Amino acid sequence: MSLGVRETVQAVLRDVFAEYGPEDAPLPAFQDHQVMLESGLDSLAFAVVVTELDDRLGFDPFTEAEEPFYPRTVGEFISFYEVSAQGRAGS
Amino acid sequence: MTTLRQALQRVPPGREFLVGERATRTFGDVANLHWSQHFVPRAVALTCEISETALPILAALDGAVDRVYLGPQTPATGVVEVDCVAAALDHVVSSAGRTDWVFRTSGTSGPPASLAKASDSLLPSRKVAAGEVPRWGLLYDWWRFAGIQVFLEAAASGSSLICPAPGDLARRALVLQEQRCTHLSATPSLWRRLLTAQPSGWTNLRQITLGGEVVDQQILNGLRRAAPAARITHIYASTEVGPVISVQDGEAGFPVSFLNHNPSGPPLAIDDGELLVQPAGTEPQWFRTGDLVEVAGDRVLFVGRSSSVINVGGEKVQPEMVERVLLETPGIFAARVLGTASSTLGSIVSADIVVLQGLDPQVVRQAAVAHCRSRLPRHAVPARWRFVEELDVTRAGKIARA
Repeated sequence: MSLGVRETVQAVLRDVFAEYGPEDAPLPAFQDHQVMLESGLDSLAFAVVVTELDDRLGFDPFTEAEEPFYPRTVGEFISFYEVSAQGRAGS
Repeated sequence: MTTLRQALQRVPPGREFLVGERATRTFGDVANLHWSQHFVPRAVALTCEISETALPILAALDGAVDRVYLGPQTPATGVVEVDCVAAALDHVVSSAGRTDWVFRTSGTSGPPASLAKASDSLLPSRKVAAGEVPRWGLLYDWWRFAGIQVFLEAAASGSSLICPAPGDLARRALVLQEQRCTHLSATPSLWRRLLTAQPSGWTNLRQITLGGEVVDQQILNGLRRAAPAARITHIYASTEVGPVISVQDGEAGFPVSFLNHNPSGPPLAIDDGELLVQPAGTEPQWFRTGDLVEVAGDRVLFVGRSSSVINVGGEKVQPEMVERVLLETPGIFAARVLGTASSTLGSIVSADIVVLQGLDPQVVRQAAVAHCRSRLPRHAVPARWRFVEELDVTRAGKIARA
C-alpha cells in the first residue's frame, strides 16, 4: 500500500533536506512542533519540497489556495496537505 | 560585389555537386538554366526541398529580382514551387544586381521571424586551401541561414554537398559516413547526438563547424577525441548580422583581444554584459545581439540569451549556464534547463536530463545536485528534475526552449 499523506510529506522533507539542506547538518526529525524556517530548509528547498509533493501526490495546495498561506510549523504544513487531500477525496 | 550567381559559377563544371540521397548531378548540368527574360517577377517565394532543380533557380534569381523569400517546404515532394508573389507586374529588372534574400530565423526563444539579407553579406569569406577538395554534409534546412551558409561554402569551394533526406539523425549520420563526408557543420546539440550515433568516431572529418548555440568546452573536447584529424571551428553568427566570430583554438568562447580587433568579422563590444556588434556600413550604430557574455581571464565566454533568463524569486538565472554545469557532471549526456511555474517562488529552475546508458538516474541526480551546489548560486540549482530519453531539438538543430 502506498504511503499516506503525512508519511509522504515527512519522507519528502527528509529527502530534500539531504540534497538541498545545509551541508554537514544533522537530519531534523521534522516533528509537528518544528518551525519550518528553523528546520534548515530555505525558500529554494521549500519550493523543491512543494514541487516534489506535487509529483508524488498529484496536487499542490499552494496553487489551489485562494489566499497566500505560509505554514509556520511542520505540523501546519502537513495538515495543509491533509486537508487538501481530504477535500479532493470528498469531492 | 560578388553575387550569389557569380559565386556559384566559380564551381568548376563537371564536378558532382548534390550527392547522397538526391540525384547526382554535375554542377555544369544545373548551372545552364536561366531565368526567362520574358517573365521576370520582382519577388519570388521558394518553398521546397533542396534538389537539382532548386540550384539553378537560386543562381538565376540572385541579382535578377529584388527579393527572394525562403520558407519551409510544404509537401515533401522535392518539387520547387515558384510562387510569383508580384509576378510579372513589371518586366523591367530593377534590382541593379542586388537581391534581398529573406530567411526565417530559427526562433530559439520565440516565434520564427523573417529577416532580409543582402546576398553579398551571405557569401563565405574563408578560402579553401589548394588541393583540398571537401565533401560537405548538410544537416540544416537549406533554406535557413545556417543551411545557406553551408550551401554557399560548398559551392564556393567546389565541394560536393551531401544531403541526407530529413528524418532520423542516426540514419542521416550513416549516409554522411557512407558518402565519406569530410566537412560538417552542426549545432552543439546535434553534435552531441552525432557523437552517440557514431561512437567509433568521425575519423573522416577534416573540418568540424559548430554554432547556433553556446559552444562549451565539453563538446569541443568530445569532438577532438572523436575526430583527431579535424580542424574544429566554432562560429558565432546570427541571421540578423551574418557571420561575426570564428574561433579555431579549441577553447570555448573567444579571446579578449577580439574586442580590440576581430580578425574575421565586424567590431565587437560588451555593454552591460551583452555582446554588441557593428556590422559594416552601420557605424556608429551598434547592434545588440541579445547574447550575454562574461570575461574570464583572457577569454570572453557566452553565457546565454538575455531572453531566456529565469526569474527565481527575484533572482535571475541563465539556463545555459546551468546546462553547462550539469554537463560537467559525470553520467549526464545532455541537459536542458528551463523555468517552470512555482507556487512559492514564481519560477523554479527545471532540468531535463538524458543520462548515459545504463546509469541510475537517481544516483546521477544526487551527484548533479551536489555538483550544482558547489558551482552555482543557490537559486540557480535546479529544483525540479526530469529524466528523459532524449531532448527535443528544433528543426534548426537547437534545444527547444518553448
